Amino acid sequence: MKDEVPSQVELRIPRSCEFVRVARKTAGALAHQLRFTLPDVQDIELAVGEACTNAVEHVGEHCPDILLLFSHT
Amino acid sequence: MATPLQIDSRLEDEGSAVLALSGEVDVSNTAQVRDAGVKLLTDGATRLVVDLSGTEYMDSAGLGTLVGLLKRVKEAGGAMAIAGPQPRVSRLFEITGLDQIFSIYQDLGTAMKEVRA
Repeated sequence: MKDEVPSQVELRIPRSCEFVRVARKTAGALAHQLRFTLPDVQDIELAVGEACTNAVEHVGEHCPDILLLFSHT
Repeated sequence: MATPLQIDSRLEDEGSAVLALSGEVDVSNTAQVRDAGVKLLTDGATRLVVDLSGTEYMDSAGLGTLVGLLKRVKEAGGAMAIAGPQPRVSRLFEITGLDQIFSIYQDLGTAMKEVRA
């Protein structure tokens, strides 16, 4: 399964609180596919969610989107 | 497209109230949680239990909302407790140190008994 996950995945979401969940769930799904343990998957979801929340709340109006780049080695 | 969350708020006897949060609490819906909690307090509740037994996920925005409710309850001379958080949510309280601030009980019945004491 791990081999089926590309080394990089890009996700662009609107700068909106409603899309933080999309980023979080995507990160969790990728981590799950990479066979992280459940506690680690949950930590990754939390970290990505918090990072996106910060971005949504603090980037300026000139930035309509948030680009997430997930990569693994 | 707010994150799926069901809020069940109910006033009970002796000025106590339950705010039950089922689903995911995050930055997209904390305003609903705050409004429901504040309404219970303005409707006369002084002893508030937040039932997290059905809460599958919570972020810092959710924690911040609970801290805001705790502040309001304390300013009014009341009491507030957290009931039944799942391990994932319990861990969030622990890593933020908020388990030292909130009174957290394993189940709703115990939490209700404690806030009424």
